[in-house]
This record gives sequence, C-alpha cells and structure tokens, in this order.
Amino acid sequence: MKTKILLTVVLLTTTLYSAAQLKVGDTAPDFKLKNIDHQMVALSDYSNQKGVVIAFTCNHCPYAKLYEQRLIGIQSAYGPKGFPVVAINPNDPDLDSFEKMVSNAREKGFNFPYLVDDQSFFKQYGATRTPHIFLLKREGEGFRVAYIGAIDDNPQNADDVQDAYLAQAIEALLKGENPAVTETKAIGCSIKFKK
Amino acid sequence: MWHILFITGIMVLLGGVSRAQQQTSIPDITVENLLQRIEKSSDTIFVVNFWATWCQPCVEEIPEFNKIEATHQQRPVKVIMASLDFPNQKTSRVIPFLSEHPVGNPVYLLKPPRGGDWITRVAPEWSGSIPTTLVIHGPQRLFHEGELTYQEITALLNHITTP
Repeated sequence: MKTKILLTVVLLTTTLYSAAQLKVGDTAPDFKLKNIDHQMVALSDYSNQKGVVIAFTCNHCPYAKLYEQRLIGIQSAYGPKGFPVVAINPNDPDLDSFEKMVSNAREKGFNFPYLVDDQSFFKQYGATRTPHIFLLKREGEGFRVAYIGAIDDNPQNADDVQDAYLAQAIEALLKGENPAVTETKAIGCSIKFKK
Repeated sequence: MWHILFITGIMVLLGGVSRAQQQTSIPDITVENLLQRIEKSSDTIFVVNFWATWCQPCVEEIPEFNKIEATHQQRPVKVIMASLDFPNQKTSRVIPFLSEHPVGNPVYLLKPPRGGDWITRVAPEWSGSIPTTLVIHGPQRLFHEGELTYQEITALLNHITTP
C-alpha cells in the first residue's frame, strides 16, 4: 500500500475573526436580540421548549434565499414538536439593513422570529457563513449544541435531497437519541461585519 | 464622421468577438481533478481562489488576483479561479459576468459532489464560506478564508519557499 505522507506546512490566516467556535456538546450562550417586530427575543425565552434551531441567515445571499422556504418548512414541521426556528441575521445592519429584514420576512412569509445581530453575537457561536445552522437541545435551564452545519445536502434543489441533515438530527433528538451526523459543511456567503 | 462611426462599430464588434471567445471556454472541473492537478505538480505554485459571481467580496478581490502572475514572473506562480456558481448558471450568469468583468486568470466551474465533505478534502480548516484561497506548492500549503488584497496574496506567496 502506498501511503503518501504530505509534510504539510499550514499557515492559517483569516480575516474572519478569532473567536472560540462552539462545538457539538458545548453550552450555547444566551442572546437577546431585536426581532423584526421590534420586540427583544432571548434564547432563555425558549426554556419551555425541547430545543431551538438557530439559523444564521441573511437577506441577499443566494444560498440563504434557496433555503428560506425550507426553513419555513422546518418551523412548520418541528416548531409544534418543541424545536422552533429562530433566524438571526449576522450581517452588519449598515450593510444588510433591518428594513430589508422586515420586508424580506413579510414577502417570504417567515413563520419564525428574524433577529438582527447588531452586537456581533454570531462570533460567540462561531458562525462563519449564511446559512449556518446550530441545532440546540435543551438541558435543564440551558441549551447544548447538538448539530452544526447545513440544512440538507442539496442547496439548489429541495426536491432532490438525499440527506436532510437538520431534520434527521431533530428527529433523533425527538426520539431521545443523539444525531447520527453532528457536523456538516456547506458553501455559503461570508458574514459581512465591520473589521 | 461616418467613417469614425464605422471604425468605432468595428472595434465594438471585435471587442465583442474576443470577449465571446473568452466566454465560451469555461471548462467544468471536478474537485478531485482540481486537487490532483494542484497537488501533483511540484514545480508550480498554485493559487486557487474559490469564488462565485453572486459573492460580492469575491468579485471585489478579482482585480487583486489579476495582478499576481504578471508581478511574480520570477517564480512559477499560476492562479486558478474556481467558480462555485451553480452548474446550470454557466451560460445564464457566469459567461455574461466574464464579458463584463475582466478576469485575468483561467476560470473553471467547479462541480462539487453532493454534500459538503469535499470542503474538508480541499482544506480541513475551511468552513465553507467564500471567498477562500488555497496556495499549494508541493507539500507546502497555505489557506485563507476571507478576502485578500494584492499585498496579502503576495505575503502568502512569500511564505512559499522555492529552490
């Protein structure tokens, strides 16, 4: 067997940001952010739920747009079962406005809160792109991260999905099991924030 | 007066033709083929920029990459622009984009497999956001997620040692 050992010199440079990225099993930090109805929404408001689907998404990213209807579907299917969706726009409001969030949510018929992250809260979660999902499972008073990544394996075509990662992870939690897949990657738009 | 208009018309036509020739040559490339090409070559420094026409910061940094090969002629630097536009938008979106934006390096349309495992295969550190740039020279590998300026690309290249 030929084993190719690459002596790899890795220089990790990033203009993203340096922050601790949440990992599966970590406690999810609480937040309090303004919803499109101007009311404040906190993670702790959901302490009577089984979990929360935190969806970092935005108004203009093509990948985020492709998943808007699917997020509405996730809320319809799993909100009543104890896993409501909370969408957060991590882009700087000066670059991706609150007004656009309001109109976008109205046009698309969002059935979940859509919060403006004017505090760069996304850094505490380690979100790097839109869309970027953090599925949280409630444990006592707090929440733990159960799944991080994509909604499913086919951004472009909702009718040709083989693995609906997020739905499968929620189904597992509903059965009291751990998700079989806890982390996935996907292409997405970088988060726009002031450096 | 008329001959000036005529000459202008010819120039517009010729410009259109040369751009059209550029537009029709956007080859598809699989992730495996791309990686084979850049990982197996030991004599070239490959700079692979992952971008898409819909990604504003990607579009903004294209001129920075355009300058690289011409200003690093003393080294075997080759820039590849790997587009993550959707495959079915090649003619409707990518080709028209290239006729409006000068992209001085070869553009390939990346055809990733289903799911996101290939992102880790390209670079374990890559979360999946674009723009992202990979610099590979034999076993030397540099990775950058986020935008880059010309100076920053040059700084990355300066970390690559060549004999």
